Amino acid sequence: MTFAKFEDHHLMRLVAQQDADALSELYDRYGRLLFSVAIRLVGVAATAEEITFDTFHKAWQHADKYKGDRGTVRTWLAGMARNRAIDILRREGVRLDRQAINWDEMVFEPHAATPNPEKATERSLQKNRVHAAVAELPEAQSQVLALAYFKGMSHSEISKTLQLPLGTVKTRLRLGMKKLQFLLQEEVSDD
Amino acid sequence: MPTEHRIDELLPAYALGTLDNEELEQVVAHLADCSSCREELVGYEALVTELGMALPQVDPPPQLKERLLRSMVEDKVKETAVSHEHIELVAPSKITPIQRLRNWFHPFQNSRVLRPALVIVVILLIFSNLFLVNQLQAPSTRKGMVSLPLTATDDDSPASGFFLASADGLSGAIIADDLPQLDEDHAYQFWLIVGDETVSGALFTVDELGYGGKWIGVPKSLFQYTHFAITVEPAAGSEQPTGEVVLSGEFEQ
Repeated sequence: MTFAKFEDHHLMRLVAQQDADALSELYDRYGRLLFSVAIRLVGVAATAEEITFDTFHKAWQHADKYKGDRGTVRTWLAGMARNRAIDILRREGVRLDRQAINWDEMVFEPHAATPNPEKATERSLQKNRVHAAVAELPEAQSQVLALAYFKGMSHSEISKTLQLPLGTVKTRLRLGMKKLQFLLQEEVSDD
Repeated sequence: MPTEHRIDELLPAYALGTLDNEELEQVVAHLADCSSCREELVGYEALVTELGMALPQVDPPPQLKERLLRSMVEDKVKETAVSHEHIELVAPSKITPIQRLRNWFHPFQNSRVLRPALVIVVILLIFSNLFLVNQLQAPSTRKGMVSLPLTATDDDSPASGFFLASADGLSGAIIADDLPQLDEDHAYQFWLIVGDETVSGALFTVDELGYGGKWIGVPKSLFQYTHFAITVEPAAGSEQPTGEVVLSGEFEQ
């Protein structure tokens, strides 16, 4: 049986029945994404590997806890990996070098030769959309969002780092996320 | 007590994982009772995922997948481990090689290619004992593994099967033979039934000879179910039986 055509939520149902091949297919789909998010946050490949392993292992053990109305399987997995990375960052101390983080990492990448040029083009376009949306954010919101996203800093940690009132940090973060959401939805509806 | 309006404002930070502990507790408690906030949160969490997808993608080391698959097999072995004291096969002269075979068989439980072949070997060893062959016509309750025949619902069908359960009922396997091979969009699904409760035990396909099998994982002892059935379902399986019953059987309590 090939799982390539299965929807993610079907695969999760099979994973809940302890089907290892179904989890293997999910890993093929999202292992790279989880590892990429983890390594960007923690900066160490071995730690990112552990985070990715733990996330899929947790998915294997608790697949029955996945609820479709709480979002896609991809978001569920990526969210678990990101939360795990943030826990590690907080436990081990967050690097406070603000120079090391910026949204320019989400740069335009000409898609390399790939067996699936259509998928690569789609990914490239998506990256450019996100990059363009982030570029439209006011600098103040972008800065706060970068610390939250790349460093997993809490409101109070960002407030301390940037020497800003807590209320200001909360407002900038919220408005930044809302604006990004609006811009990306607008982009999709224009297509 | 934070107002709903205030909780709504905290959702983007919750999706980013950046709430301080006190606010985190407030949001978690609120989400348990507020479906509109849960819906709104889905959008923010999807946005956070989209940001992640825009990062430079880095391939994980290849050994990570192997390690993950190995750990799943180890988990399954631990979960369904039956000590040698519990498994006693009917043919004393065969105990040693079968036990060795079982030890060898465990790591391949989830192998799509090797599992049916290995189960055939185990079953052939069992069938080689005439006493067990005679007993296969009725549920066996002797000490050791329990076997239950599954018969075709269509009198003209050559299909047959049986269901094996360990002595403690915590693990089992389903074997079927001479079932028609299904297309890519369908699979056979094994069900365990007691009263109004129907639970899926396994999803499997058969090879070109109509032979297939699978280990069974269920939330409680297999002996708590009274009836068993195999139906034809969509390839991803169903929550409840929807298709034609092809094989069935029952425990006599």
